Amino acid sequence: VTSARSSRRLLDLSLALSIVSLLSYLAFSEAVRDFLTIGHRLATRFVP
Amino acid sequence: VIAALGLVLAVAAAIMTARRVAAGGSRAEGLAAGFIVGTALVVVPIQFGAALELLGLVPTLSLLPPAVASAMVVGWLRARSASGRPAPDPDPSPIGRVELAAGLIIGVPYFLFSLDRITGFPVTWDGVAYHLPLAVKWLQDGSLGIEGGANWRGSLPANAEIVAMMALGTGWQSLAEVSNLASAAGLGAGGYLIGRGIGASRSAAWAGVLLILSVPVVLYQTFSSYVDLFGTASLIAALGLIVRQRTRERSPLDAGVLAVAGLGCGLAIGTKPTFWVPAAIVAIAGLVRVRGVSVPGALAIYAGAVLAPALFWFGRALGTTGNPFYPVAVEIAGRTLLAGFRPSELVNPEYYLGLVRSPIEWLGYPWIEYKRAGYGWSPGSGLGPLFAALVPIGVIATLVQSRHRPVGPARLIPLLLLGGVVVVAVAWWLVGQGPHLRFALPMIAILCVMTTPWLTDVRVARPRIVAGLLLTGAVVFGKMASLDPAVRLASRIRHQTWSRDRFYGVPPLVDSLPACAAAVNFNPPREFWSNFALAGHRLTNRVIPPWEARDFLDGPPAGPCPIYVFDREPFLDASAEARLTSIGYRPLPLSEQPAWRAWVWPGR
Repeated sequence: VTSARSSRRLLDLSLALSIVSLLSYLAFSEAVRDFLTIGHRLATRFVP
Repeated sequence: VIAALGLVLAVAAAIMTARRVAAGGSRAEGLAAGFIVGTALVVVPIQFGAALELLGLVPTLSLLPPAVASAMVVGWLRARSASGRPAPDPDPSPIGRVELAAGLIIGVPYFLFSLDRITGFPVTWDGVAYHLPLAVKWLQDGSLGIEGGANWRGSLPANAEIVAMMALGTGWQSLAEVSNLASAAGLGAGGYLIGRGIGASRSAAWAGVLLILSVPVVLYQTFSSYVDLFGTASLIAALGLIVRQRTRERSPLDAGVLAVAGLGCGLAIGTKPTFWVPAAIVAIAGLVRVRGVSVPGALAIYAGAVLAPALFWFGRALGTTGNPFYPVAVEIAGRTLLAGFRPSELVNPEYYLGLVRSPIEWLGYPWIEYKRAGYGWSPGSGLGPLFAALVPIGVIATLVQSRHRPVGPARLIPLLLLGGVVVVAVAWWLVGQGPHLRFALPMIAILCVMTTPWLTDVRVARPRIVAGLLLTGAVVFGKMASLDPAVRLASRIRHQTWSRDRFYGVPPLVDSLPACAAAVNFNPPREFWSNFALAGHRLTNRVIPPWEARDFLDGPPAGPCPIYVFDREPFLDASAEARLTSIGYRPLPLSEQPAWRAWVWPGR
């Protein structure tokens, strides 16, 4: 029972870290920034 | 027509092999084996024909051998009835809806890139600079010979370029890049098989494949003539076949699978020197127990299969330069044993600093994706949102969890995989190379797959959170990755750049030069992207790349064929122009393409 509980805790912790990891990517990735910049530039060019 | 026939028959042989292997295993095993066999049926017969040409036994290299070899294999497979039943799968549950939905989303940029490439021409950086020009040179020369000297790019092992040469030989030039879709499929199948081999459920193994396919380097290389994906796919498909069959009921390896896995390793070794160390590690992994064959027999099968697609390159280098590893120099303790180029001369050791500002920044690269120049994602940069979200944590969690697993493959193989990744990294360090992302593609694929045991558990424990992570990452990837091909397609429609000269922005004159004309790319060395464009629509122009242009023009023009010199904006200075005129070249008017200047020497 203890092993199952600790295993479950490990899984929950790892998932929480994965969520933080994805948010960090969205916040810091320069590729995301490039995408938003280019997307904005395209939108302003094609949408009056 | 002969090239197209060879490719069609090789695909037919691959499909028949896949069906046969799938009949005794699984569809993924069939796909991995079919990819390796189909590719080998293109590469090995061409190498055989090229060896005959280099030995002087035939006057010129023909594109016919792949068609002959594939037809023989097709006939042989048709004559033998398939035996065996599919191996029982301990996890018969279907792949989950979330994973299928994520797969569809990730498939959108693959579809858009396919449309872009099919309606266009080869466009990727190193591909049009020297991989495809090398394939064009082989087609023009009817030989795979090398000259040695300073042109090391033309002296590397080049299995992927053989496939590109066959694709270009069909006359449909974009096939040279689109054909890499087969590599992506082979890589995905290999990744799936490794995942299943280390105990992942079907859905988790499929999620591992999605992780691999969502890496931007994999996506961009799929639609390029870079060779890293081709070698990685050969290697991972081979490893997948070995791991899957060995872990299924812990059975010994089938001799046929051993041979196919050996071919995969050999294809990778003959792709690029960066694969020599990882392929050696995978080759060792195959050398354990083999069913129904003695140890010497198994060794002979394996060694023969590994050498078949690789030996030609070492023999060619040995015969021409005396160094079988040419262009790589062999040095021990500072003494040069075999002359060539040091790794630092082939790839600048500081090349990696285009992706990180210091080596320590690699630890944060998946989240930062810094790039000094250009868009963050390319054939050599970017790991993507799903990798950042799931792989670093997933690999650590898999290793921690493995303590709780029973002793066996599911516990041992992830440790062995990680050990292999570390050995390759150390080997790189020893040869003085800084890390570079695309050279590490096999390791990136293995890290993705190593998350699958953890994904198996978290899918059951917290299905909604895993679904949210997978779908969010897939949507972010799908949107970001679709931008590039969507903009390209929109631009092509808007500017109507359907013809080759308009696509590349070169003078239409390039497509109508006389058959034996030389086209000198008279530009600074960094402007090498026109090398492929200047070959012309029929690929008959003999292009002199920028790094050879000065030497070529230093000598007086001679021979019966005309020489055209092309200079693209920003134009070279007036002294270069005056020199050309003094040698005897006369300027050509290019009113329809003001970004270019041209001169011609009409030949004798």
